[in-house]
Amino acid sequence: MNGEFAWEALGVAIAATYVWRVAGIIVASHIRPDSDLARWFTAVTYAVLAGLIARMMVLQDGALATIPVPDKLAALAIGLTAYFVSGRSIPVGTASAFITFATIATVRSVLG
Amino acid sequence: MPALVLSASMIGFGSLARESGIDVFITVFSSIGIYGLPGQIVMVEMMAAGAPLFAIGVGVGVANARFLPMTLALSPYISHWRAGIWRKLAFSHFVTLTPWVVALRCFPDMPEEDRISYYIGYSLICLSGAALGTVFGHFIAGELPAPIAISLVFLSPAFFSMVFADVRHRLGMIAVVLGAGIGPVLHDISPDWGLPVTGLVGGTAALVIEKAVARRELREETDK
Repeated sequence: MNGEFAWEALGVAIAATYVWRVAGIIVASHIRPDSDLARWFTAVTYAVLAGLIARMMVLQDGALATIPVPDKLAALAIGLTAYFVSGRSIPVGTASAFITFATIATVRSVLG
Repeated sequence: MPALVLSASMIGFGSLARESGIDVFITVFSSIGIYGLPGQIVMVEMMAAGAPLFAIGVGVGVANARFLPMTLALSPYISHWRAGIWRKLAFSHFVTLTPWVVALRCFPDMPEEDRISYYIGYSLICLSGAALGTVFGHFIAGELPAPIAISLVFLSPAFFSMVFADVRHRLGMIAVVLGAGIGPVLHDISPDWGLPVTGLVGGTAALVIEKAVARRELREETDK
Protein backbone atom coordinates (compact mmCIF):
# COMPACT_ATOMS: atom_id res chain seq x y z
CA MET A 1 0.00 0.00 0.00
CA ASN A 2 2.75 2.40 -0.89
CA GLY A 3 4.36 3.67 -4.07
CA GLU A 4 2.71 5.85 -6.64
CA PHE A 5 -0.92 5.11 -5.86
CA ALA A 6 -0.49 6.03 -2.21
CA TRP A 7 1.01 9.42 -3.12
CA GLU A 8 -1.82 10.06 -5.58
CA ALA A 9 -4.35 9.16 -2.92
CA LEU A 10 -2.63 11.50 -0.47
CA GLY A 11 -2.72 14.32 -3.03
CA VAL A 12 -6.43 13.76 -3.65
CA ALA A 13 -7.10 13.65 0.11
CA ILE A 14 -5.20 16.91 0.70
CA ALA A 15 -7.09 18.63 -2.13
CA ALA A 16 -10.45 17.30 -0.90
CA THR A 17 -9.72 18.81 2.51
CA TYR A 18 -8.23 22.10 1.37
CA VAL A 19 -11.17 22.88 -0.90
CA TRP A 20 -13.39 23.39 2.20
CA ARG A 21 -10.93 25.81 3.76
CA VAL A 22 -10.73 27.78 0.50
CA ALA A 23 -14.52 27.81 0.26
CA GLY A 24 -14.62 29.14 3.83
CA ILE A 25 -12.30 32.03 2.94
CA ILE A 26 -14.28 32.85 -0.21
CA VAL A 27 -17.68 32.77 1.51
CA ALA A 28 -16.30 34.79 4.44
CA SER A 29 -15.31 37.62 2.12
CA HIS A 30 -18.91 37.86 0.89
CA ILE A 31 -20.91 37.87 4.10
CA ARG A 32 -20.98 40.34 6.98
CA PRO A 33 -19.42 38.94 10.15
CA ASP A 34 -22.30 40.08 12.40
CA SER A 35 -25.08 38.85 10.10
CA ASP A 36 -27.52 36.03 10.85
CA LEU A 37 -25.89 34.01 8.10
CA ALA A 38 -22.53 34.19 9.88
CA ARG A 39 -24.19 33.23 13.17
CA TRP A 40 -25.91 30.34 11.42
CA PHE A 41 -22.56 29.02 10.22
CA THR A 42 -21.23 29.27 13.78
CA ALA A 43 -24.22 27.30 15.10
CA VAL A 44 -23.81 24.65 12.36
CA THR A 45 -20.12 24.28 13.27
CA TYR A 46 -20.83 23.77 16.96
CA ALA A 47 -23.57 21.24 16.16
CA VAL A 48 -21.31 19.28 13.77
CA LEU A 49 -18.39 19.17 16.19
CA ALA A 50 -20.58 18.24 19.18
CA GLY A 51 -22.22 15.53 17.05
CA LEU A 52 -18.79 14.20 16.04
CA ILE A 53 -17.54 13.97 19.62
CA ALA A 54 -20.84 12.54 20.92
CA ARG A 55 -20.70 9.87 18.23
CA MET A 56 -17.22 8.78 19.34
CA MET A 57 -18.42 8.66 22.94
CA VAL A 58 -21.76 6.87 22.75
CA LEU A 59 -21.47 4.65 19.66
CA GLN A 60 -19.46 1.49 19.10
CA ASP A 61 -17.67 3.02 16.14
CA GLY A 62 -14.41 4.24 14.65
CA ALA A 63 -11.05 4.15 16.41
CA LEU A 64 -12.67 3.47 19.80
CA ALA A 65 -14.85 0.66 18.42
CA THR A 66 -13.19 -2.03 20.53
CA ILE A 67 -14.03 -0.27 23.79
CA PRO A 68 -17.32 -1.07 25.58
CA VAL A 69 -19.57 2.00 25.59
CA PRO A 70 -20.09 1.95 29.41
CA ASP A 71 -16.30 2.40 29.88
CA LYS A 72 -16.31 5.54 27.77
CA LEU A 73 -19.42 6.92 29.44
CA ALA A 74 -18.07 6.25 32.95
CA ALA A 75 -14.82 8.06 32.14
CA LEU A 76 -16.73 10.92 30.53
CA ALA A 77 -19.10 11.25 33.52
CA ILE A 78 -16.20 11.40 35.99
CA GLY A 79 -14.34 13.85 33.76
CA LEU A 80 -17.36 16.17 33.49
CA THR A 81 -17.97 15.96 37.24
CA ALA A 82 -14.33 16.86 37.94
CA TYR A 83 -14.60 19.71 35.42
CA PHE A 84 -17.56 21.30 37.21
CA VAL A 85 -16.28 20.57 40.76
CA SER A 86 -12.91 22.17 39.91
CA GLY A 87 -14.64 25.41 38.94
CA ARG A 88 -14.79 24.56 35.21
CA SER A 89 -11.17 23.61 34.67
CA ILE A 90 -10.67 21.89 31.29
CA PRO A 91 -7.25 20.38 32.24
CA VAL A 92 -8.66 18.85 35.46
CA GLY A 93 -11.68 17.44 33.62
CA THR A 94 -9.61 16.01 30.77
CA ALA A 95 -7.02 14.46 33.10
CA SER A 96 -9.73 12.88 35.29
CA ALA A 97 -11.49 11.36 32.28
CA PHE A 98 -8.19 10.10 30.89
CA ILE A 99 -7.01 8.53 34.16
CA THR A 100 -10.40 6.87 34.72
CA PHE A 101 -10.40 5.48 31.22
CA ALA A 102 -6.79 4.25 31.40
CA THR A 103 -7.52 2.55 34.73
CA ILE A 104 -10.57 0.74 33.36
CA ALA A 105 -8.66 -0.30 30.22
CA THR A 106 -5.73 -1.62 32.26
CA VAL A 107 -7.98 -3.57 34.66
CA ARG A 108 -9.82 -5.09 31.72
CA SER A 109 -6.61 -6.20 30.02
CA VAL A 110 -5.22 -7.69 33.27
CA LEU A 111 -8.45 -9.59 33.84
CA GLY A 112 -8.32 -10.63 30.19
CA MET B 1 -1.96 21.47 26.80
CA PRO B 2 -4.28 21.30 23.75
CA ALA B 3 -1.22 20.83 21.50
CA LEU B 4 -0.13 17.89 23.67
CA VAL B 5 -3.57 16.29 23.34
CA LEU B 6 -3.28 16.64 19.57
CA SER B 7 0.19 15.03 19.56
CA ALA B 8 -1.14 12.14 21.64
CA SER B 9 -3.98 11.48 19.22
CA MET B 10 -1.50 11.61 16.34
CA ILE B 11 0.52 8.88 18.08
CA GLY B 12 -2.65 6.80 17.88
CA PHE B 13 -3.09 7.75 14.22
CA GLY B 14 0.55 6.91 13.37
CA SER B 15 0.14 3.46 14.90
CA LEU B 16 -3.11 2.88 13.04
CA ALA B 17 -1.46 3.83 9.73
CA ARG B 18 1.49 1.50 10.31
CA GLU B 19 -0.85 -1.38 11.14
CA SER B 20 -2.75 -0.62 7.92
CA GLY B 21 0.53 -0.94 5.99
CA ILE B 22 0.99 2.74 5.08
CA ASP B 23 4.60 3.94 4.99
CA VAL B 24 5.89 6.61 7.32
CA PHE B 25 6.25 9.37 4.67
CA ILE B 26 2.66 9.12 3.46
CA THR B 27 1.51 9.04 7.06
CA VAL B 28 3.41 12.10 8.25
CA PHE B 29 2.61 14.11 5.11
CA SER B 30 -1.07 13.39 5.68
CA SER B 31 -0.74 15.02 9.13
CA ILE B 32 0.97 18.06 7.60
CA GLY B 33 -1.02 18.31 4.36
CA ILE B 34 -4.51 17.27 5.47
CA TYR B 35 -4.13 18.42 9.09
CA GLY B 36 -7.56 17.13 10.05
CA LEU B 37 -7.69 13.82 11.90
CA PRO B 38 -11.11 12.42 10.88
CA GLY B 39 -10.20 12.81 7.18
CA GLN B 40 -6.78 11.25 7.74
CA ILE B 41 -8.36 8.20 9.40
CA VAL B 42 -10.79 7.84 6.48
CA MET B 43 -7.89 8.07 4.01
CA VAL B 44 -5.85 5.38 5.77
CA GLU B 45 -8.81 3.03 6.15
CA MET B 46 -9.88 3.45 2.52
CA MET B 47 -6.33 3.03 1.21
CA ALA B 48 -5.95 -0.13 3.25
CA ALA B 49 -9.26 -1.39 1.87
CA GLY B 50 -8.03 -0.73 -1.69
CA ALA B 51 -10.64 1.92 -2.52
CA PRO B 52 -10.34 3.83 -5.84
CA LEU B 53 -8.96 7.39 -5.92
CA PHE B 54 -12.30 9.05 -6.49
CA ALA B 55 -13.91 7.31 -3.52
CA ILE B 56 -11.00 8.32 -1.28
CA GLY B 57 -11.44 11.93 -2.35
CA VAL B 58 -15.16 11.93 -1.61
CA GLY B 59 -14.73 10.09 1.70
CA VAL B 60 -12.03 12.45 2.96
CA GLY B 61 -13.97 15.47 1.66
CA VAL B 62 -17.11 14.52 3.57
CA ALA B 63 -15.11 13.77 6.74
CA ASN B 64 -13.41 17.17 6.64
CA ALA B 65 -16.29 19.33 5.36
CA ARG B 66 -16.46 21.00 8.79
CA PHE B 67 -13.50 23.18 7.75
CA LEU B 68 -15.85 25.36 5.69
CA PRO B 69 -18.06 26.52 8.59
CA MET B 70 -15.05 26.52 10.95
CA THR B 71 -13.14 28.93 8.71
CA LEU B 72 -16.25 31.09 8.49
CA ALA B 73 -16.81 31.10 12.24
CA LEU B 74 -13.28 32.41 12.69
CA SER B 75 -13.71 35.24 10.20
CA PRO B 76 -15.63 37.72 12.42
CA TYR B 77 -12.63 37.83 14.75
CA ILE B 78 -10.18 38.61 11.98
CA SER B 79 -12.38 40.80 9.80
CA HIS B 80 -9.96 43.71 10.40
CA TRP B 81 -7.23 41.76 8.56
CA ARG B 82 -6.60 43.39 5.18
CA ALA B 83 -4.56 40.79 3.36
CA GLY B 84 -4.57 39.62 -0.24
CA ILE B 85 -6.45 36.50 -1.20
CA TRP B 86 -3.27 34.40 -1.43
CA ARG B 87 -2.24 35.16 2.10
CA LYS B 88 -5.74 34.40 3.32
CA LEU B 89 -5.70 31.08 1.47
CA ALA B 90 -2.35 30.26 3.06
CA PHE B 91 -3.80 31.20 6.44
CA SER B 92 -6.75 28.86 5.91
CA HIS B 93 -4.48 25.82 5.93
CA PHE B 94 -3.93 26.47 9.63
CA VAL B 95 -7.63 26.03 10.38
CA THR B 96 -8.02 22.78 12.26
CA LEU B 97 -9.89 21.78 15.39
CA THR B 98 -7.30 22.32 18.15
CA PRO B 99 -6.09 25.87 17.34
CA TRP B 100 -9.64 26.76 16.33
CA VAL B 101 -11.14 26.04 19.75
CA VAL B 102 -8.22 27.82 21.43
CA ALA B 103 -8.75 30.84 19.16
CA LEU B 104 -12.48 31.06 19.84
CA ARG B 105 -11.68 31.13 23.57
CA CYS B 106 -8.87 33.72 23.44
CA PHE B 107 -9.78 36.03 20.56
CA PRO B 108 -12.53 38.04 22.29
CA ASP B 109 -10.05 39.27 24.94
CA MET B 110 -7.12 39.71 22.57
CA PRO B 111 -6.22 42.93 20.72
CA GLU B 112 -7.21 42.57 17.05
CA GLU B 113 -3.72 43.14 15.70
CA ASP B 114 -2.26 40.24 17.72
CA ARG B 115 -4.78 37.62 16.62
CA ILE B 116 -3.36 36.56 13.24
CA SER B 117 0.21 36.10 14.42
CA TYR B 118 -0.95 34.35 17.59
CA TYR B 119 -3.12 31.99 15.58
CA ILE B 120 -0.47 31.08 13.03
CA GLY B 121 2.15 30.60 15.74
CA TYR B 122 -0.12 28.40 17.81
CA SER B 123 -1.23 26.38 14.81
CA LEU B 124 2.40 25.86 13.75
CA ILE B 125 3.17 24.46 17.21
CA CYS B 126 0.18 22.12 16.82
CA LEU B 127 1.30 21.14 13.32
CA SER B 128 4.82 20.32 14.54
CA GLY B 129 3.43 18.38 17.49
CA ALA B 130 1.10 16.50 15.16
CA ALA B 131 3.96 15.60 12.79
CA LEU B 132 6.21 14.44 15.66
CA GLY B 133 3.38 12.45 17.24
CA THR B 134 2.60 10.79 13.92
CA VAL B 135 6.20 9.71 13.33
CA PHE B 136 6.53 8.50 16.91
CA GLY B 137 3.25 6.55 16.68
CA HIS B 138 4.30 4.97 13.39
CA PHE B 139 7.65 4.03 14.89
CA ILE B 140 6.32 2.41 18.09
CA ALA B 141 3.21 0.79 16.56
CA GLY B 142 2.50 -2.58 18.11
CA GLU B 143 5.02 -2.08 20.90
CA LEU B 144 2.76 0.07 23.05
CA PRO B 145 0.65 -1.93 25.55
CA ALA B 146 -2.94 -2.07 24.27
CA PRO B 147 -4.58 -0.23 27.22
CA ILE B 148 -2.17 2.72 26.80
CA ALA B 149 -2.63 2.87 23.04
CA ILE B 150 -6.42 2.96 23.33
CA SER B 151 -6.28 5.52 26.16
CA LEU B 152 -4.28 7.86 23.91
CA VAL B 153 -7.06 7.59 21.33
CA PHE B 154 -9.63 8.36 24.03
CA LEU B 155 -7.74 11.48 25.15
CA SER B 156 -8.86 13.63 22.24
CA PRO B 157 -12.65 13.07 22.48
CA ALA B 158 -12.36 13.49 26.27
CA PHE B 159 -10.60 16.84 25.85
CA PHE B 160 -13.09 18.12 23.29
CA SER B 161 -16.01 17.03 25.47
CA MET B 162 -14.65 19.38 28.14
CA VAL B 163 -14.13 22.13 25.56
CA PHE B 164 -17.74 21.88 24.43
CA ALA B 165 -19.00 21.69 28.01
CA ASP B 166 -17.15 24.99 28.45
CA VAL B 167 -18.93 26.87 25.66
CA ARG B 168 -20.53 29.83 27.46
CA HIS B 169 -22.44 31.86 24.87
CA ARG B 170 -26.07 30.94 24.39
CA LEU B 171 -26.13 30.17 20.66
CA GLY B 172 -23.12 27.86 21.00
CA MET B 173 -24.55 26.09 24.05
CA ILE B 174 -27.87 25.35 22.33
CA ALA B 175 -26.08 24.12 19.20
CA VAL B 176 -23.77 21.86 21.24
CA VAL B 177 -26.68 20.27 23.12
CA LEU B 178 -28.69 19.70 19.93
CA GLY B 179 -25.68 18.40 17.98
CA ALA B 180 -24.64 16.00 20.72
CA GLY B 181 -28.25 14.81 21.06
CA ILE B 182 -29.07 14.13 17.40
CA GLY B 183 -25.56 13.35 16.10
CA PRO B 184 -25.39 9.71 17.28
CA VAL B 185 -29.01 9.03 16.24
CA LEU B 186 -28.54 10.34 12.70
CA HIS B 187 -25.21 8.51 12.42
CA ASP B 188 -27.05 5.27 13.14
CA ILE B 189 -29.47 6.04 10.30
CA SER B 190 -26.79 7.09 7.79
CA PRO B 191 -23.07 6.87 8.65
CA ASP B 192 -22.15 8.93 5.57
CA TRP B 193 -24.59 11.81 5.85
CA GLY B 194 -25.45 11.76 9.55
CA LEU B 195 -22.88 14.37 10.50
CA PRO B 196 -23.55 17.01 7.81
CA VAL B 197 -27.30 16.65 8.43
CA THR B 198 -26.68 16.97 12.19
CA GLY B 199 -24.96 20.29 11.52
CA LEU B 200 -27.67 21.65 9.25
CA VAL B 201 -30.61 20.56 11.43
CA GLY B 202 -28.97 21.24 14.81
CA GLY B 203 -27.42 24.53 13.73
CA THR B 204 -30.59 25.86 12.14
CA ALA B 205 -32.74 24.84 15.11
CA ALA B 206 -30.21 26.41 17.50
CA LEU B 207 -30.34 29.74 15.68
CA VAL B 208 -34.16 29.72 15.60
CA ILE B 209 -34.37 28.90 19.31
CA GLU B 210 -31.74 31.48 20.23
CA LYS B 211 -33.55 34.21 18.31
CA ALA B 212 -36.86 33.30 19.96
CA VAL B 213 -35.26 33.48 23.42
CA ALA B 214 -33.58 36.80 22.60
CA ARG B 215 -36.89 38.25 21.34
CA ARG B 216 -38.68 37.20 24.51
CA GLU B 217 -35.95 38.75 26.67
CA LEU B 218 -36.24 41.97 24.72
CA ARG B 219 -40.02 41.99 25.21
CA GLU B 220 -39.72 41.39 28.95
CA GLU B 221 -37.14 44.14 29.07
CA THR B 222 -39.46 46.65 27.39
CA ASP B 223 -42.47 45.54 29.50
CA LYS B 224 -40.75 46.58 32.72
